[in-house]
Amino acid sequence: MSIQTASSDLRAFAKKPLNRRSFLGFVGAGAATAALAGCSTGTASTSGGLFSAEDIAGVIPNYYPVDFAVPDLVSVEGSTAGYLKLPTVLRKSVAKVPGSGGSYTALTPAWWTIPSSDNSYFKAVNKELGTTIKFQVSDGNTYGEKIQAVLASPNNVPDMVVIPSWNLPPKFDQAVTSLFADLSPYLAGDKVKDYPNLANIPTDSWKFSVFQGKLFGLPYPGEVIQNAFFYRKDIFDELGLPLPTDAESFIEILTEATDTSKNRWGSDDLWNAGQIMFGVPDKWTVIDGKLVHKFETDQYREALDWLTRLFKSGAVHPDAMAGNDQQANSRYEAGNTLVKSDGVGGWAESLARVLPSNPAYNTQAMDFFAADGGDPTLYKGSPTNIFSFINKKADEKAIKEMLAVADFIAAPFGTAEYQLLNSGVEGTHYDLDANGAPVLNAKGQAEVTSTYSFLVHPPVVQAHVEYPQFVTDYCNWSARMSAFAADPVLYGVQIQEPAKFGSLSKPFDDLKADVANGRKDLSALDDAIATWKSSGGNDLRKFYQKYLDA
Amino acid sequence: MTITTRPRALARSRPHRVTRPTWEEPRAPLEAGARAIVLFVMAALIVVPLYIVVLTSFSSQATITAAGGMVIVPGELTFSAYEQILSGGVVTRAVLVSVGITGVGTAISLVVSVMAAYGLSRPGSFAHRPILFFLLITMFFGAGMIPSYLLVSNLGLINSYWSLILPSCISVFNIFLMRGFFMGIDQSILDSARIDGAGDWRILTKMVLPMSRSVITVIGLFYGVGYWNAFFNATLYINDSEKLPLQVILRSYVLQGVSVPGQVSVGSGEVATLAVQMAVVIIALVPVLIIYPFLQKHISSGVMIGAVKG
Amino acid sequence: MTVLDERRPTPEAPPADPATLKAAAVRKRQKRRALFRRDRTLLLMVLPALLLTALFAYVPIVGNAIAFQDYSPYVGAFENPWVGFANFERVLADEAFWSAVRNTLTITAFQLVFFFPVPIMLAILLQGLLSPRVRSLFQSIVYLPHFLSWVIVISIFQQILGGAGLLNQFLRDNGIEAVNLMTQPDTFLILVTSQALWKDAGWGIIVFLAALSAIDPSQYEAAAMDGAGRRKRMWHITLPALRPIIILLLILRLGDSLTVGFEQLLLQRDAVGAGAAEVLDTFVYYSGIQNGDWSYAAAAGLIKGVISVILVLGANKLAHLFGEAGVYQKS
Repeated sequence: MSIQTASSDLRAFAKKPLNRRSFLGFVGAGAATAALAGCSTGTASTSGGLFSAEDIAGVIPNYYPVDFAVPDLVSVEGSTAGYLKLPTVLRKSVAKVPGSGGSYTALTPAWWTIPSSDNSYFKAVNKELGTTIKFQVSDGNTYGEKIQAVLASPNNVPDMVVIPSWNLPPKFDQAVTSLFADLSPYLAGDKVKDYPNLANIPTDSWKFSVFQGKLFGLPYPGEVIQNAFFYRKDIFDELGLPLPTDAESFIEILTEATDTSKNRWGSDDLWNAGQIMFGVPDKWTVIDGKLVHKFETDQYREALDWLTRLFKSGAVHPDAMAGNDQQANSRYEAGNTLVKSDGVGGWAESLARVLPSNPAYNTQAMDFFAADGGDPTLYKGSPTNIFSFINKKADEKAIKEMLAVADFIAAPFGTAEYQLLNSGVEGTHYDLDANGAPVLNAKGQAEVTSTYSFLVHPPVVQAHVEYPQFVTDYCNWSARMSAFAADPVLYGVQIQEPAKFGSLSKPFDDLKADVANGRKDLSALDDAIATWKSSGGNDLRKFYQKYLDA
Repeated sequence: MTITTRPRALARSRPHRVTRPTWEEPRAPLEAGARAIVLFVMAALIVVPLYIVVLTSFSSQATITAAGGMVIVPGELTFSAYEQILSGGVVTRAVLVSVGITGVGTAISLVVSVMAAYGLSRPGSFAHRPILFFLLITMFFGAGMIPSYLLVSNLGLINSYWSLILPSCISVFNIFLMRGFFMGIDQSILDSARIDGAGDWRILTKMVLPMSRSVITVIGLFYGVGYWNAFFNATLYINDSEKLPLQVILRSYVLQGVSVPGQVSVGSGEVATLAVQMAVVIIALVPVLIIYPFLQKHISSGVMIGAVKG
Repeated sequence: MTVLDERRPTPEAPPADPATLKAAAVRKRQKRRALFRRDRTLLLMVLPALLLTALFAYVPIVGNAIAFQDYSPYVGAFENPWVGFANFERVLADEAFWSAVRNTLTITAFQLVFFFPVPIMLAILLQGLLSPRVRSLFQSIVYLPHFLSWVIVISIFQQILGGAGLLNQFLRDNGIEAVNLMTQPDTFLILVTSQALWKDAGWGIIVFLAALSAIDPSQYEAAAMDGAGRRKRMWHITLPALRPIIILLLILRLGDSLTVGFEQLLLQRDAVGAGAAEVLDTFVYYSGIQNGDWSYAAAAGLIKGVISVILVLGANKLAHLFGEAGVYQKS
C-alpha cells in the first residue's frame, strides 16, 4: 500500500469535519454555515475583466413565477413558504416528455447511502424524463478532492457535474470556461420561456450562477436565513427558564440552566449563531466607503469576547469546548445541552430522529436579537448553494435536451413531478398516511435520494406536512427573521479568490479555539489581525475593491 | 540469528497438558503475577471500549438518547441498525468487490514483493545498493493526488478494478521488512545450495519460502489489511456504484438520515444514527476477526516455546 | 545475526604506470560483468517491483515539479508559469511551518522512546506465556483497535477522559473538581502517545512475534544448560536475535515519522490548540491542500521529503557504526 494513498486516505477522511460544517450549514445536521465558514462563499473568478451589473443582467433568465399549490404560510420578504397539507391533485407541470432518448452521465455528491445504479427509482424517473441519466454518485465528504481531480482531467468530465458552492475549486475561472457550456444563449432573458419551471427560480439565484460574465450554472436556491440558535423548549418550560433578550442575559440563563450533576449544560458551542447575534458580517462590510473585513470589525471582537465569557462561565458542554461538533446533535437531543447553533435544515431531521422515542421533544429556533437587546442585524444567506454544469463538449441538441430535463426536475412543490422526484412511485416507494403525506417505506428510503434534485431545484419550501406544527413554527420564524435580512456587501456576485488567499482565515479559527478556551488572551486578536493584513489581507481588500467599484 | 527447519505445528487432536520444556526453570510467582497483571490490564483496556462500541451498535435510539452518546449500561437492544445496513444488497455486493480486490491484490503484491525481497537479499549482489535507494526514495516523496489521477486516467484505468490494485501494489516498507527477514536466513545453507548448482528460482521456492512462512503471513496480512481498508482511491477512481468496495459504502452510512430542504419525507427516526455508525465499525471488523485466527498460527509457526511433544 | 559480507577484492597498491592502471580497470569491469551474470536471475526477480514503482510512484513524483510553478490544474502541465523557489520561500517563511516541524519532531522523539519499545516488550512477554490458548486469545483481541478509525478512538477517549466523561462524572460525584484531560496542551504529548499505544501497540506485536518465532529454541536449551537464567537468556539470545529487525523498523519508521498522526491530530486541534497539535501534515493540509494551493503543498512536501531522507540516511549510518546492517549497506 503506497504511503501516498494512506495519507490521501487520511487527508480525505479527515476532511469530513470541515465539509460537514459547510454542507450541514445548508442542510443543518451540524453546526456551521456555508456563509460564515470562510470557505469560498463567493466563488468564481476573474483576474481580469470585471463585469458590470448590466452585463450580468443581460445573461440571466427573466423571472416568471408559477404556482401549483398555494402555500398555507406565504413567503414574506423572501422567507420560506410553507405547506401544511399536500394538494389533493398533483398536476403535471411539464406537458410532454422532455427527453428524446438521450443518455447522459452526471457526477453528484451524496452524504448518505450511495444508491445502486439500476434501482426502480431511477428507472421510473428516467422513464418519465424520456432520457437516461446515469449518476456517478460520490462521497460528499471527499467531494472537493474528487472535483479537483476530475476537472483536471477533461476526458473524464461527465455530461453534467454537480458542484456545491463550498466545493468550487480554486482557479475555477479557468476551469469553467474551458470545460463547461455557456447557457446564456439558451436561457437569457425571455429565452427561458421555453423552460417555465426554470423561469420560476428567483433572479438572485441565477445571478450567483454567472461566472466570467456568462451563465454557466443551474442553481439550487438557498434560503434567506440559514442559521439559528435552537433551544429545547420542552426543557426550558420544565425548568421555568425565560428566553434571553440580549447577550448578557443569555449567559446568565445558560449558567442557571447548567447542572452538571444531572449531566446538563446550558449550551453547545454557540460561535456561529453568536456572531450573527453581534451582527458580524459574512465577509466584508463597508465603513466610510472602505471595505472592512469581518475579522477587523468591532463586532467580531465583541462576539469573541462574549464567547470567551460564555466558555468561562462553565455553561458550555466540555466536549463542545473541545471542538467535538460531530456529537453536537446527540448532546442536544439527549438534553445534555439546551441550546445549540445549527443550520435550519437540522430542525426537521432532529424531529424525525427524536420524536418516535420522545414525543415531548420540542425544539424551536430562537428569534434573533441584537447583542444589546435591540433589533438584530441579519445578512441574507447565499442565494445558491449548489450548482450543476453542463459539459462544453455537448452539442446544441444535447444541451437543449438536458435543459428540458432540468425543467422537469425544477418542477415546484405541488406538481406530480416534484412528488415523483422526492418520494418515488406511490406503492413502490411510499404510501400516503392519514394526512395524505408520503411516507417512504424501506425500499423508498434506500432508493430515493437526492440525485436529480442536485442538478437543479425549485425554490425551497417547507413541505414537511407530516409535522404541521413544525411547518408553522418554521415559516413564521423565517418570516419574522427575513424582515431584518439585509444584503451583505457584494451579495449574489460570484467571485473567486485566488488560491493564495485561501488560508488567511484558518488562523482565526485556531484563535477562536485558543481564546475561548483561555489559552490565549483576547489581545491576541490584534496580532492576528496585523498578521492577516500583512500576509495578504490588504491585497485581498484591493482584490474585492475592484468588484465594488465595478 | 540462525533459522533451521522447524517441527510442523502439531494437530491438537489428543488432549494434552501444556508443559514447560524440561530445561526451563519455573517462573517466580511474583514475575508471573506481574506479567499476568500487565497483560490483563492491557486486554481489559481494549476489550472494554470495544464492548461499548458493540453495545452501542445494538442499542435503540431511546437508549442512546438516554445515555447521551455511547452506551455503557445495556438498555433496549435492537438489530435495526444492522438490518438497515445489510438489507438492500448493496453491502453484500460491496463485500464481494472488496474480497475480490483484497484477494487478487494481496496475491499479486506478495508475489512481486517476495521476488523483490529475495532478489535484493543476497549480500553484495549486483547493483543492490542503487536499487534499494531507488525504492527507498519513494517512501519519502509522495505523489500528488492530481498527478496520480492523471496517470491512472492516461492508462485507461478509471472506473476499472485495476485502479484499486496496481497503483498501491508495492509497499516499499513491506519489501524492506521482508528482505530483512530473508537476510536473517543462514546464508551458508543457501550458498551450499548454490554451489551444488541450484538456481535462484529453486532456492527461493524450495528453500527460502518454506522457511519464511511467518514473515510471508505477516506481510500478506499487512497488504491484505491495506487493500481492505483503502477507500479514498476508490472514491477517486471509481464512478459506478456497483464497483465500490465495502469501506466506501460503509462510510456512506455514517451520515444516514440527512435530508435536504424541500424533500417531503425524512428518514425514520427509529434507527439511531450513532448505532448505525457503530454497526458500520463492527461490520468492517467482522471479516478481519474471521481471518486473523487462521493466520495467527502461521505467524508464530516456528518453534513454539512450551509446545507439546509428540 | 551473522550476515556474510562479501568482501570487495582488496584494491591493489597504487600503480606507477598507466599499463597497470588499465589492467586493473579491465579486471574491475570483468568482475562486474561476472557479478552481473551471476545475479541475473536475482535482478529479473526484482524487475516487476521496479517497473511498478517506476510507473506508479516515480511518474507521479515527477508531478512534484509543480512546487516550482504557480500551478493550475486546468492549464497544460508545461504552460504553468515557473516561479522558481517562491513557493519554498513562502513555506519556510511561515512561522507556523517551523512550529509544525518542532511539534512533529517532538512527538516523534517522544513516541520513539515511549511507543516504539512497547510492542517489543509485549511480544516478548507474550511469547513467554505457557498456555497457547491464552496467548492466542490475547493476540486476537489486542490487535483490533488498529482497525478502528481515529474518529472512533478519539470519541472513546473523550467518552472516558473528557470533560463530561466517565472519569469526571466519578470525580464530581465524589466532590473532586473535574479535570478535562483531553484539552490540556501541556500534557498533550502524553495523551497522543497513549492514544497511539491503545490503537496500535497490539498490532505492532505481530511483526515481533514473527521474528521471535524464528529463534531456534535449542539455543535457549543450550544456554539454560550452561546455567544462564531467564534474564541472561533474554539479554543474550532473544534481544540480539531481534536486533536487526528492530533497527530496520526503527529506521523505516523514522522515514515515516514526519507523517506522524495526521488524522489523530486534526481531530484534536481545537481541543488543545494549534500550538500543540499542529504537525507538518496538518500544516500542509490547511495551508495548501484545502485551498487547492497545490504548488504550496508540493513545496512543503518536498521539504518534508528532504528532511526525511536526511533522517533515514543519518540513522542508517548510525546503525552501521554499531555494526548493524541497517536498511542497506555498502558491500
